[in-house]
Amino acid sequence: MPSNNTSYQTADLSLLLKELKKADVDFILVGGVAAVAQGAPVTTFDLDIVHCRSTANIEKIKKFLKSVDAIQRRPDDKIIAPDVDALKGKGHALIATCFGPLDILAVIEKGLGYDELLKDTIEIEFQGFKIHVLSLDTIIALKKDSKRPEDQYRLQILEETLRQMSKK
Amino acid sequence: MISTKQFVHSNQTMASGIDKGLIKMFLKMTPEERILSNDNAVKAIMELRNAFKQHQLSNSRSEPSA
Repeated sequence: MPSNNTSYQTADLSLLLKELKKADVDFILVGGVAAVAQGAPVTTFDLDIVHCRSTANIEKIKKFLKSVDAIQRRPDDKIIAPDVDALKGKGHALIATCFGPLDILAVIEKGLGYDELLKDTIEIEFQGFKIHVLSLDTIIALKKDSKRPEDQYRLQILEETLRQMSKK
Repeated sequence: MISTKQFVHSNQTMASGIDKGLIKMFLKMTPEERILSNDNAVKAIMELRNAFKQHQLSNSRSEPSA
């Protein structure tokens, strides 16, 4: 369990990403940071990943979560360890770490998980590590069905980014 | 002070509600630079939020009690 001195008020998503790679966790970067990496000028406060659900990878996630003082992100301030077992199935874990918020998702829209999404990723080089990032056109395709107003606004930015990218 | 030329340009950029110039600028960066730029933005926003909280706190302290 994290010590009482751990601060969860910081956000260093680059460091969080780097630590995930150092821990050798297999994942696909999705969500806001994936869009940012591909050129969308949006600001995002958490890191969203879809993880590989192999037993070996779940073990790596478990170790990684301990190393970053992970706790469940909850509306109340109760300190509860993340439910790693939920990650073996189709569950997710919304987590606070000492480097910022992390959402570990077994599946995203349309029930798609790591194995189905891998073919729709691009590989980027980040601080000496290779990272699988969900492609911008896939993010757009998946967000199109969303009813959330925030997604609808963001969709316009993503579509314009894709338009400008294809002009290059 | 914004010149007429700049104003027209910025109006065209924002015509669809999307800042196309900002996207163009962002696309010139590498993925790593973009993620670091998001981090910097998040840090700046958090600092501003903290400053606002402090401001509210000091205002509530200085208000005379009824």
